[in-house]
Amino acid sequence: MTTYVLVFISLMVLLVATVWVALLPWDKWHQTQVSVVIALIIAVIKATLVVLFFMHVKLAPKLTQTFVVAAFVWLGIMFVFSFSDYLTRGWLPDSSGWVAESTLPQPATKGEWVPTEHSAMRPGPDTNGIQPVSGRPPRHDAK
Amino acid sequence: MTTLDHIPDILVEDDRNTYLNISHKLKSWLLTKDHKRIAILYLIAITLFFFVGGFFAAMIRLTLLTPRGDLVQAETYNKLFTMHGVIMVFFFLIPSIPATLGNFLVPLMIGARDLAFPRINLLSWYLFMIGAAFTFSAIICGGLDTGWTFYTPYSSLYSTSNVALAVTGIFINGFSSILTGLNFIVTIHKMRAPGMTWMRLPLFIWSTYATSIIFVLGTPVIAITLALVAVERVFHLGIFDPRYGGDPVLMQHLFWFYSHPAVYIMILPAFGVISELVTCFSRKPIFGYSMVAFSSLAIASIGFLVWGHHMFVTTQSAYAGMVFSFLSFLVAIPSAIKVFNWTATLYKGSISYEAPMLYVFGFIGLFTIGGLTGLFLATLGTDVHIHDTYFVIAHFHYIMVGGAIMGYLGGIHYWWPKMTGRMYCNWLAQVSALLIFIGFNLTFFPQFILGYMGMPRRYHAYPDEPLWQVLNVMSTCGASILAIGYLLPLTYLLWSLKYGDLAGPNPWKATGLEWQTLSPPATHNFAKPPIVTQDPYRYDIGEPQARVDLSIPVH
Amino acid sequence: MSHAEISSPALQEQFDDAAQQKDAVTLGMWLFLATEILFFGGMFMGFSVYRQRYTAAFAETAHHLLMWYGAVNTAILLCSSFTVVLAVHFAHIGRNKAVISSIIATMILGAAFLCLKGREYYIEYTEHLIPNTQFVYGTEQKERMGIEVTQEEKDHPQTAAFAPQARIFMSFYFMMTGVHATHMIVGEGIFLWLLITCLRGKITPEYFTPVEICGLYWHFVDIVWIFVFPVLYLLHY
Repeated sequence: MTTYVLVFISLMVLLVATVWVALLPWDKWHQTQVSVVIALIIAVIKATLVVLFFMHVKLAPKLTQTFVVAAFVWLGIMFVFSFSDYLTRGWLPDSSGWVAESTLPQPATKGEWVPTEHSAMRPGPDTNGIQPVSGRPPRHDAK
Repeated sequence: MTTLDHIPDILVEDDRNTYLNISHKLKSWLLTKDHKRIAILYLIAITLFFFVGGFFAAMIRLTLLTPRGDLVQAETYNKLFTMHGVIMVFFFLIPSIPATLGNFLVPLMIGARDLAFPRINLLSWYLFMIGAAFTFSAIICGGLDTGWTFYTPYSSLYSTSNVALAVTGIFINGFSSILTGLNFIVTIHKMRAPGMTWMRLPLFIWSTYATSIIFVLGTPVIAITLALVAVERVFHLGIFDPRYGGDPVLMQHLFWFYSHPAVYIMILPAFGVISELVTCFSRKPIFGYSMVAFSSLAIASIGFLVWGHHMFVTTQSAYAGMVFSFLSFLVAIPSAIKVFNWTATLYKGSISYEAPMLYVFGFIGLFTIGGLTGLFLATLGTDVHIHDTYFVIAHFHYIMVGGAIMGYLGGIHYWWPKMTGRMYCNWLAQVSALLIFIGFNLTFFPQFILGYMGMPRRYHAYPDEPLWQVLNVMSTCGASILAIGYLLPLTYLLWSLKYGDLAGPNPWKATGLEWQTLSPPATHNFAKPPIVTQDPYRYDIGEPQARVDLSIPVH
Repeated sequence: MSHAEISSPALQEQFDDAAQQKDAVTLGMWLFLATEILFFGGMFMGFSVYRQRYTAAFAETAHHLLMWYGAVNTAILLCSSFTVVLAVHFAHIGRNKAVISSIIATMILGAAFLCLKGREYYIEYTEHLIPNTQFVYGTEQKERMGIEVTQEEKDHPQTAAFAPQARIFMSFYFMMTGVHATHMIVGEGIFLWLLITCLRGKITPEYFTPVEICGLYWHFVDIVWIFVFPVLYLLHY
């Protein structure tokens, strides 16, 4: 019982800490990414406390512990391999990176933003397809 | 030790009541908790879905008889290949062996009375049927044209077909898979009979276990992906919409994270079936039991690391592509180990050529071709040329049809006497197997050539050149033969239910606990838990003995 | 058939004894939670990808979420996890009335969470942050359109150029908190079932597996929120 109360108090303390850390003036100290890292670390600690003590994984059979770890490892696989794509997109010499900047809609002024349709995506008048960007109808054997 | 002509009384209950005849009421089937009945319910459903998917395949092949492909309109053709893919992948191949043979055999093979969670097993079947209802209503109400891969932004923005309805059905079906996998994992861990250690398990159980891991860890990701696509479509959110800076390739990452391991869901159980059949019909223990067992786990694990090979020609980084390519080569190794081990099992075996064994031979040859052609696709350079061509289609059909479906049919033919208590007409089954083999090769080998020549997939038309049309016509002819080959089992298997010979407990003289019950088994499988004292596949010590040590008192 | 079946009426026929049943059921629940980890994980992955790419836009949009609502909700859920742990503890020592009180406390806390969440969604609706046709982002633009701008928003003005990415951020916010809230509602249903089971007297010190299993589910939903709160609300940079 004491363990449960101690863990509960720790969780509340960590909650207060994480909110307090988020409200500190990190941009003035030029360390903005540190706040991100701290927030995530505190979240991991809180989750670990809940898993180990509230969900009794610390006392659970090895099989259960293995499955718990495996689930997080598999999540890790998803993150690592997907980010191996996103973080290396800019590495090739003539790569325009993640998303070609020119294709991102840019407002002419700082005013209203309205999405524009790519003309290439409009369906054409004939049943067979999509109008190409040039506006000419596609070459089709319609004799 | 007793021989199998006389089943010890402790293994069977009252032999007047099998799981089939214990009650004939519809309610007893629809509210059953018996894993064997649930397996039969799945069997009926997926057979129906197979023929619906096959109908769409027939329409595709008929359209491709002519270069202009004007049997149907282009938009209709898009719907045909989409629905063929969706039905075959989600409603036939993924459930096929696990939900039918797996459900039926897992408790029998490990000596348990039922699965760990029988009511959840029934819920799985209902979720499967409800999911099918949603997806089939999407098909009836105008169809689906996004491709079975549901790539955004077409599926989330521009398609005018019933995307949200269809993906809801697949979402629900996903939970059916998850619950089945969960059930199998818990059962295999917790409900093995005394003496059934991990290294005495039949290889079918090992591969079912590996498949279940993929069910549990992979399926939730496609669930959330399809949920995001559906929500984006209905509420116009913008997560995958390039106009807002969204990345369609993100959807592909999330989609293929499941869908690549999904192809291992489709093939791993077939591997398990082949392992069982090859030993029985060579009358030899499997060569390299532990390697075959662990290779299933290796495929399940490494299979999660290779999904990017479906995205080589997207904006995915070439560096990530290299990593995925290398890992895709790696994942071929455990499959190759299995093929070598099955071949070594055949060597100096006493081979007989009953119908199940013909499917084994077909599998080993066709799966090997399919697997080797996968390496062309895993290579970054060549993939640029053959991606999205008929080469890919031929590759995966060699694996899924030449591999998985042959394994499925082989398993159905092998365990049919156990499930129904009847034997079918063997020579007719052999003829069907041969027709399937011939029809299959005639259908799909020309497609390798077509793909290599550059014929794109998902196109209703192709260049009006003689060779292209000849190959397409060959492919369609092959498909007709294949169709006959698939329809024949429907006839003789159903015929056998009423007129087939009574099978007896062990018509194949196989090892394995499932053969030491009556055919069909009683509802509770075993009156008391069997005690296992012997390694599996001990064909080398003569006719299989009852693996029950009667000197040890059973509780 | 066996002795264990007679002594424990809850034993199901596919199991040999109560210990096997408890082991199997617990393992089954953990496997289900593993699937949920991957389910939510997909959304976290998508969010992370966009956060990495559009860091400034996401950081700014995060300011416009109601952080204090989120913080109080986190505290509520942590308390509810504690009451769940108490329920299991009391079941273990046989104090049935205390079990029932703990379950009711958990359900009340869960309902409070959902009420605050609903209020939050309403406020976001009035601030035009729902990513559909009514979505408007950009303080200058709002003032020009005659939409009322709160003082807090004037302190952290919305950059109109970030509007498309803000829309993606809010899409993830509503998906993640929405799916979480759905799980909470299901959790309330599960605990209602548990409450009825306890009131029927089926929970004893020898058999309190349902309390443990339902507790595992509740803790998991709490853990998801433990990650949702900082990731969505607190990454202001």
